[in-house]
Formats: sequence, structure tokens, C-alpha cells
Amino acid sequence: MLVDLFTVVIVLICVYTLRHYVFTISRVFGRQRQPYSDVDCADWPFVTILIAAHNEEAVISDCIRALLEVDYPADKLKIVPVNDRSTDRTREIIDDWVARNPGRIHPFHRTGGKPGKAAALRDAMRFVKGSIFLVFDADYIPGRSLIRELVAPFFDPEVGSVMGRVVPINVGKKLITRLLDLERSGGYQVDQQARMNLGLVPQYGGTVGGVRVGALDEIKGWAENTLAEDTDLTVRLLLAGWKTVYVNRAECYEEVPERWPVRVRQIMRWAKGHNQVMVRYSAALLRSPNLSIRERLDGALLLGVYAMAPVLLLGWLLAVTLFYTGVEPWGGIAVLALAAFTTLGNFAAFYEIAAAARLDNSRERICLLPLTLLGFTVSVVSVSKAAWTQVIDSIRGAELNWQKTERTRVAPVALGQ
Amino acid sequence: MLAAPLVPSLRELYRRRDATPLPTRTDNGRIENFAQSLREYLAPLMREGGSSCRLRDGIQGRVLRSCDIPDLSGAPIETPAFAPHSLVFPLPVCFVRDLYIRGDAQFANDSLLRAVLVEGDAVLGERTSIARWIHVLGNLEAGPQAGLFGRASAIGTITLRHGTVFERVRAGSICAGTQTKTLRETSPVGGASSPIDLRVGRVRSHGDFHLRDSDAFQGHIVAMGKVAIADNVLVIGSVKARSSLEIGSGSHLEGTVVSRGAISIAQRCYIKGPVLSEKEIVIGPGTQIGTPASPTTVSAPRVRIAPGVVVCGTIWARESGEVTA
Repeated sequence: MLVDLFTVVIVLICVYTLRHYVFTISRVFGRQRQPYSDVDCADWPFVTILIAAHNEEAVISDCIRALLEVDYPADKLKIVPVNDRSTDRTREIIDDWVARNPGRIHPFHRTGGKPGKAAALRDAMRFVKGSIFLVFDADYIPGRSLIRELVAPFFDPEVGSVMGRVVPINVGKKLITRLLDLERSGGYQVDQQARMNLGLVPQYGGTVGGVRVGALDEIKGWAENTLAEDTDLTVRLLLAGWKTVYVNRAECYEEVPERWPVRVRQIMRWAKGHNQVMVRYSAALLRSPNLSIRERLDGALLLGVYAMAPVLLLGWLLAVTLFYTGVEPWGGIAVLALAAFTTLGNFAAFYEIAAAARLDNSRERICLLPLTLLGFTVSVVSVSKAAWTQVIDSIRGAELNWQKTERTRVAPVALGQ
Repeated sequence: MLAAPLVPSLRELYRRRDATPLPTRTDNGRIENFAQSLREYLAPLMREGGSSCRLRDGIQGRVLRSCDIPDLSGAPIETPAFAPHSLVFPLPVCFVRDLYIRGDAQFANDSLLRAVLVEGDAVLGERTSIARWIHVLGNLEAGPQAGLFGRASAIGTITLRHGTVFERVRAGSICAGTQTKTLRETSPVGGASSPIDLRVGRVRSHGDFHLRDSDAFQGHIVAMGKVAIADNVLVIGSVKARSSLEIGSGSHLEGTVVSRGAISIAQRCYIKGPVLSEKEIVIGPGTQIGTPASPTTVSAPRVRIAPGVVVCGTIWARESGEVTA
């Protein structure tokens, strides 16, 4: 019985290991698909930008300032800070920007309603004008050409949402920020781009991205009862025959957590939201007639990413148990040891990070690679804990709560650093 | 010994040699940026007014005048140069460094130029090659068999003669061969300004998709297989094919054309654009893509355009582009 269970764990881990290898090889040696990056000249559509903000007094000014400086035609851009029930100075700061830039910023001060980003975005949809809207979290700092780069893929009538690359700006602060910087590199530079290369399922990440209004209407808008509105949207669009596109050149700075407890809360929220979507849509995804076989498989594997952390812990537990009970599971322990090395972490495995650092031309930060084991271990434990509490909560019928990621920025950031 | 692999990690953690944010793009990607940089680089030559002066990187710059022209053919010119007025080069020249001409410029056949900024009109002789970029504030005419490697841009019109090869070209209008028909100034159907804003339905085909001669279709088309559009078809919407995409002669598409395979556009078509392929685009004579009022982008690894094609905006051939019948 234990051996059978252990075999299942090994098979699952090997599948993810193979997936990571395929992605890395595709990114390093394969043909790179960036079919929309050359669109520099076109009839650009009217675009609304939603800035999701809940108690963001430390960061929102940088985001608004950067958006006012983008090179997208100003007469085709509507900036909507979505101030979701903030209790700090966020409202005051937004209103100050509105007063200084008349006609360019149209704030939505949300004072009630259901908490959470998805609910706030759902309410903010009535402020959206035009066929496309982009979403930024308030701690993001877009570059000058970012809006055009994110809008260009929408000229393809099959594209329902677009995702850009997230680049940490507070890298040098602490060990945790340096480790998250490496993890983000692997996740975007290799994992997302490889999925784009292979025609699989790039993921809309909820920020530094955009959505086609018509596609969102077709799937009946944002789902409110989810902690991962981004993954939920990716999957529902996919099921409805819309594609998500990743644009590696559309880079945007973000602030990553600087304290481990903040990071733990963040990844637990991601894990719970992701698992919610997995439970809801895995079966529909695998059966969907709108998708190719590879899209179905990759979609299902994508949804299972966070579920692999408890599976891995279970594998370790079984390996130790089997070893000390004298059962020899056909060398499975050795396989587990090797495969576990490649499935740890949030999307990015060790060699994906190494490949990303190489592609980013980062020569020294790659030295930190052995230390990512620390970050990955924290992730595995946190994600497993999230999965466990999620199961318990669902048995008890408790509702999942949204928890905002704490910001630590204290001074405005100079752009172009 | 077990801790030895951690030594580089701990050293980097302590010394923080690579702890700044990864650089993100800060420019807007415009071709004109090169021209502006060259103007700034050669500013000392423009200010001083002598025959030469030292530039900010220590290299000696040179001022060109008409009387210098006879001495220029033969050996490569290895200094950056600035001409304060129009120049005609009757014999082949080779500029290894950048050249800025504040007026019109005419280059002889078989010239070789690295990077050129011309504030008037420019004419490149037969088989003349541009190695990096050329930006012209007026009109640019590239002679037969010319090579525009890198970027070529003009505020006015760029004319590419038969056999010209190119990579990235941007202008108000790009004409292959001699333009014989009148340019459409605006889209004949009108409607939404951007193809993205077209409020029409969407048709998804799990296989191939065909439109017959003289059909009219309103809506976006997404096909998992090939798309074949016959002659004189009107499509109010965009078209996407996972495989190849063929458009018959005289057809009119009021939207975008996107394909993961090759795109073939026959003669006398009109496409509002953009036109994007992940393999190859072949455009037949008399076809117009974009309008002066609504410029657009044609992009593929390989682009072949016939004489008589007009594109308003950008053509980007990432591997190779050629004017060929």
C-alpha cells in the first residue's frame, strides 16, 4: 500500500521534472516566439488602466507617475486608481495626483463591498472605457513603452489576455529579496516564455497584464469568490477559446516582500487560490474540445503546481518510512531525491533559475543559487500548510479570506534604474 | 567540505556585486533615437565650424564640403563626418563611421555606408548598402539591388527598387518599385479607428476556414487550421490562422491578419493591418497595407513584396526582406 502510494508520488514528481526540463531546453535552445513584439506602428485602441490599491500610500505615487510618463497616446489612455477601502493616505495621494493632472486620472474610491482584489476589479469595470483594460498593482512601476507592448498582442483576435514580465526592484535589500529575484527570473524568463514558445498555456498573473473586455464579458466577468482571480481568469478564458499571451519584453518593476512572514502569507494566498481553481476547473480543462491535447495537459499541470508541495512532503515522509521499515521501493528513494530537487519552489526549478540568470546576463547573482534551497523549503512548507488548512476549512465550510501583501517602500523610486 | 559550495553564495551575499534590479527597457524603441544620438554626438563639429574637431569619445570628426568629394572615393573614410549642406557623391564611397548630412544626399552605385542621417531627401545608387541604419527627414529612394541592413526610416516616402533587400523599414509610406496607382488616404469602409475596437462577433473554426469569391463577412475569424480567402472578398474584422493564410486578389480586410504559418496576399488587396506571421509574408503587386492616416506594421521572419506594393508604417523582416516580382 505504502509502496503503491510512493510510486504515485514518484510518477507525479517525475512528470513535473520532465516538464521543467522541457521548458528549460525550449527556452535556451528552442525557437523563441515573440510574434507581437515588432508591432510598433498601428492604430492603437483606447485603453483603460486599473491600478489595484488597498492601503498603498507607500507606493502608489510611483505607479501613477510612471503611468503618466508612458509613450502611449494620452488621448487614448484612461488611468483609474481603484482605491479599495483604504484606511491610510491612499485616497489623499490619489486625489492630489488627480488635481495636478486634470482629465487624465479618474479615481474610483471604493468604500464598501466584498473585500479582495477580484471584487474591487469587478466593481471597477463600470469605469472601463474602450476594448482593452490593463491591470497594475500599486507597487508596480511600468516603463515608457510598456503599454504599447502589452496592447500589441490584442491585434490577434484569438488573444483574450496578455501578461508581461515582473522584475523585482528592491532586489538588494535582504536575502529574501535576492532569492525572490532569482525565483521571479526563472518563473518568467524561462517558465512563462517556454510555455509561449511551445504553444502551451502562459498564465495571466493579475498585474502587468491586460484583458479584452469582450472576452471578459463572454466569460461573465471576474469571479468574486476566488483568491487567485488571475489564474481563474486564465482558465476560464482558455475554456472559452481565448488565449493568454506572455510578452517577455514587457518588463515592469515590482516590490517583492522583504520579510519572511509577509512572503509566507503571500504564497499561502497564491496556493489556496490556485488550488481553488484546480478543484473547480481541472476536469473541464481536460475534457475541453476547444483545446489541443498539449494545452489540456499543460493547463492541468499548471493548476497542479501548488498541489505538488504537499505531494513532495508526502514523498519524503514515505521514503523515510519505507527505508526504516526495510522496504526497498525499487530505488525510488534515489529517484525521489533527484526529482525533488527539480520540483521544489514556485514554478521555477533550480536549473530554470540558472538558465534565466544566464539569459538575463546576470553574472554574479547566480552564485546565490544554492541559497534558493532556503526559499524553496519555506515555500514547500507554507504551500503544504495552505493546502492542509484549505482542506480543513472546506470541511468546516469556512470562507477564504483575502490578505494584502504588506509594502515596505519608504521613498519614491527613480525610474530607469 | 560540505559547506564549500556555499562559499561563492556567501561571498556574493556579503559583497553584493550583482544586487541591483535587472535593467528594464527605458527607450521607446523608435528608429529616430539613433538619429538623435548622432546629432548629439556630432554637435561639436556643427558648433566649431572648422574642417575637423575632436568628439566626446576622443575620435577626430570631419566636416565634409562639396570640394572634398573628389578625394573621398577609393579608401574607406574612417572618421565620423558632418556635411552642413547637400552632397552628391558621383563615385562609390565607403564610410566606416557615421555620416550626418544637413541637406539632400545622392550616393553613387556600389557605395557602402555604416549609419547615415540625412535631413533632406536621399538617393542610394544601385547595390549600395547600409550596414546599420539610415534615417531621412524627407524621402528615401533605394536603387536596384540595394541592401538596407538594420534599420531604414523616412518621414516621407521610402521607395525600394527591384532586388532591394531590407530588414526593418519605417516610413509614412513604403513603396516597392514605382508606385503606379493612387494611394488610398483613408480606409474605404471606415468605422472603428483601431481593428481592436471593431465590435463584431467572433467565429472559431476547429479546422480550415474558407470564404468564396466576392463573399462579404462581418466578424473576426479564428481558425485552428488554414484560412483561404478567395478573390474580391470583403471582411469587416480580423483573421487569425494557426496554419497558413491565403488572401485572393482584390480582397479587402478591415482588420488584422495574423498567422502562425505563412501569409500569402495576392494582388490589389487592401488590408488595414497589422499583418503578422511567424514564418513568411508574400505580398502581391498593387496591394496596400495601412493608410497614411492609419499606419500599421507588417512583420515576419521573411517578407517578400512585389513591385507596386505600398505599406504605410513599418515592415519588419527579422531574417530577410526582399523586393521581388
